[in-house]
Amino acid sequence: MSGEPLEISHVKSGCGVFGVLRKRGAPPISPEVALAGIECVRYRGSRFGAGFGLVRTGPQSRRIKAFAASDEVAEELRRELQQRIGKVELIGSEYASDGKIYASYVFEPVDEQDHRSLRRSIGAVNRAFSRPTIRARIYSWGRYVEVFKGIGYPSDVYELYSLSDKVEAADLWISHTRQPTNSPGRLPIWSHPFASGEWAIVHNGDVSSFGANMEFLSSLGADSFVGTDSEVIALLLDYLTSEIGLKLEEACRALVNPFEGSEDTLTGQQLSALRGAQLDGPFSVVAGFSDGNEAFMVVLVDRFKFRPIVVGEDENYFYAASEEAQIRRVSPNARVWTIEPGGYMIASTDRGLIRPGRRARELFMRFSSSVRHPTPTGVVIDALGLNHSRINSLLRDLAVRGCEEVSLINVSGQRYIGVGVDRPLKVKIHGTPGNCLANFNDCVDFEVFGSVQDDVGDVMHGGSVVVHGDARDVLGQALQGGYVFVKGNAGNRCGIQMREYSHKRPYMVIGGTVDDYLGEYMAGGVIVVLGLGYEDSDLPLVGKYVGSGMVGGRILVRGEVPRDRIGYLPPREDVVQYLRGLKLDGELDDRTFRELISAQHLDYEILRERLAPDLLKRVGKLFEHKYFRRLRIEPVRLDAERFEDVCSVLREFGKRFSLEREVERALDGRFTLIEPLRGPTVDAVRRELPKEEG
Amino acid sequence: MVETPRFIIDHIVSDGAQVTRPSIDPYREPVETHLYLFNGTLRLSMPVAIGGLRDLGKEEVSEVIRACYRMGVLVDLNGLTEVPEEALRRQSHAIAPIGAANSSMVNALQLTISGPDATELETMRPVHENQTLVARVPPLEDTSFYRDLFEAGFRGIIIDEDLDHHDAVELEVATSVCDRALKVPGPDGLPMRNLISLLVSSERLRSSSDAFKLIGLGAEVVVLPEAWKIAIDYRPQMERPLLSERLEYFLIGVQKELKLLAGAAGVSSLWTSLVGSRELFRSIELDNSLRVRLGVKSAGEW
Repeated sequence: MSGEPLEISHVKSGCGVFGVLRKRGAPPISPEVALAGIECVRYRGSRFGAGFGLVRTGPQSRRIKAFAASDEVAEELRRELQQRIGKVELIGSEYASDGKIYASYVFEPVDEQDHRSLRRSIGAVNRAFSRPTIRARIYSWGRYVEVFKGIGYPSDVYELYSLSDKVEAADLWISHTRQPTNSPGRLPIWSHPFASGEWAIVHNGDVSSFGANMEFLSSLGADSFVGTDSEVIALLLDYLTSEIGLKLEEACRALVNPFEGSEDTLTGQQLSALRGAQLDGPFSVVAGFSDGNEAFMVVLVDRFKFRPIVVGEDENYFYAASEEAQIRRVSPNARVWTIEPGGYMIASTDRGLIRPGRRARELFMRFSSSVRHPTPTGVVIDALGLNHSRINSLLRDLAVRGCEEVSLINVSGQRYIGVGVDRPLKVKIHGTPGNCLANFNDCVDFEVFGSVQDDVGDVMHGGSVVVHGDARDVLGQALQGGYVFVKGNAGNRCGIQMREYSHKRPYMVIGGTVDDYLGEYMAGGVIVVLGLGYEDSDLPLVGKYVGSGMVGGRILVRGEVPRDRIGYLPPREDVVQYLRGLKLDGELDDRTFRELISAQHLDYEILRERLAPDLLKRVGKLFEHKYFRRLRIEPVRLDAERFEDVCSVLREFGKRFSLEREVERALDGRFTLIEPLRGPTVDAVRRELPKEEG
Repeated sequence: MVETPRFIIDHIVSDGAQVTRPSIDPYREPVETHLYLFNGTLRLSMPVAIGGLRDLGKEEVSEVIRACYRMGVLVDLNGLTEVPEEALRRQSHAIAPIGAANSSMVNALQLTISGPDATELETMRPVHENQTLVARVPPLEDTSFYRDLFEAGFRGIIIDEDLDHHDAVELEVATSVCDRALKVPGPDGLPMRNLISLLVSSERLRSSSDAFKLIGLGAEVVVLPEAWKIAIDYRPQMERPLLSERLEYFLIGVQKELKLLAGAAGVSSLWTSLVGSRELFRSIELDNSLRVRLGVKSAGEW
């Protein structure tokens, strides 16, 4: 790189979420934890909204909380409420209003009503106070759930409600910092958490199913919305569990709506009944819920995993956060893992981890929990309290002065570390670096004693990144030189758009497993997934859509890869239907039909093996499109001649992590090679086929 | 060059994806077009069906039925005088013509009155439980009419714009009115709308984009009686393999276009996210009263 070093002075990001749940027997959680967990990623939000939500089990009295423009409006709202649910007392406001902002008022009903009629009454009152403009809004009315939200950063809202003085510890806390997109940030009614009944949620994302979700809720009688996609998530969870009577897990599955063909896809009948309750588009959600006996933390993520989310646990608590650094901030040695695309995690105070958020329960158990921390060497910089600009300018100065090695200690979520450092330097990172580590890296060698977050090594040209823990999503996007080694597991969309040049070939080696979209759009370089520690297991080491849209490079995965995880295939049901039709037409014999539909994978290659060219041509149209490339999927051994470069990179990987023996064992075993088939494209094959008669 | 708007549908635009709600590239990532009709009993590969077979020769009709079955789409046999043998063997994917009811097929009953009374509906109840009875009706703007059809036990409604009726309104309006009429709590606390399927049909429908918008207004399946013939350059007595090959490619093309349109709106599942999701659409140059009848906001409206 030449010219002025790249300087990123401002961080702008999506919203941030955080959640923490107490395990049975553990001390209750003070509000300070919820604050620390969200302030850690203050830069993910803005001054346009933040909030906190708690869940408390056991005997509690109901608190109905509303924002109102003035004391008079609050009194008016009390009267309106009283007309519907019997005597209601106005307890007071939680903070003084200066006339410009809404104050939050607390009401207590004298008589208890059943959940449905109370929800109806709350909806009716909210509706009455929202025409023509919103004068007041009830935003929290649970017995076990309570929300504190406002305008400002999390620390501002925390101060506004004097949470540390006035609010006692709870079984669960969720917190949020907001970067508004589709609704304004000038009133607290649009801040998170959103609550309905005994549910409160915080959300990062922008749900494209918002319209369908609102329609579904309206069909069930919901008639007042503030108009954000996040609000409907709280309402959906409440209605599905309390109105339709779904179990927690069923409600989670209805919302995340895993792709057809996943093992927990809803049946046609379930989908028909619940159509409109499914969330689409990007979301990561942390929710708190209680039935009075136990508190639940629920975490949902969309089927593409367009938004970040990690979860974790230690001896006493469960955690959920947008970034790993948040969890490490409050529990440095927690075990942290990612949720799979379209996955959900459920934990409760009494039952512990009910769903880990990964379909194969064993997989998440092996995510690195603790990393050995060697003594820092070279020049030591304490990153505590330093922002990334300061860190990077220190690194640049040291590199210019000829320093060879720097240790950064106490790193906690700072982004862009190393960006703009354009001279060779060894940087050892102790802690959890933030997103975008080593982006555009050309010559710096990073070694991380901990896990890394999202988007590491984006457009990296040279140098290296060696991670002793795990990596999260979008690792090595457009990686085009140097190497990235991860000892543990990596997340979603690793090595997408990797490429190589005549003199430069990048390598990415993952010691554990990866999630979906490995090597998507890949054009060059080499990815190896070793699955060390999984040798005796049948669990696939990779997620779905491996190498989809791949045009170059090589992917090597130890062992066998289920063929239905490779590439992007048409829906299996559609292919089966076509074959069923051919059978009815008398063009496909019954035996071949049965063999094909009972095959574990129904990809282009198996059809090519079993069908005559004219039939392949006909059913093949379901597979083809202008970017369709056949992939070579071949079981290989990494012989020294054909894979000389890969073998030496893997040995280097072994050396770096003291895993020489494990790597040698892997080198003796089989791998699956995935690469684009160089040869005639399907179109060319089609042209060679004899013309159809008739 | 943009054509002058001819229909209401030409005044409706999709509210596209933007930075926080990214578009989805359907060539490389899944955008689901499949759906279930009749309480989950029938899976279709896409929300478009083929119709308009009245003037086709017997052999051609059979060819179309076979192609539709292979492609996992419905074929609407309305207009035929009898049910072809080919359809009987593929009855899950065919709608029987009016007057040729067959007990195990999807049977359509044509209602030509503006609102059936109770006794009339009584005579239309399914003969036995497995019978899938759908009502073929002209496009009416009558909320209670659609609810009555549900109460009468119909499992589906086909709003057919090519049926003449003195009270008929535009298909766009009728589709949206019907969809919204059924958005009330039904049995088991589920939305009534989720217990009945809505199909629409019109000879004037031209493209995937027309279908996409009608789905947004509430249709689960859009029947194309004419568009496919123009698209595949249909001619009487054309070679049968050519007919089915072109029809299949037409359907695949429509499916891809629907995926692109959905992907551009950040939608990855047409059926669950798009049907009746009027919020995803805006209107341009439509007057307020029509917007209210459609339930579609004006462009720029939050």
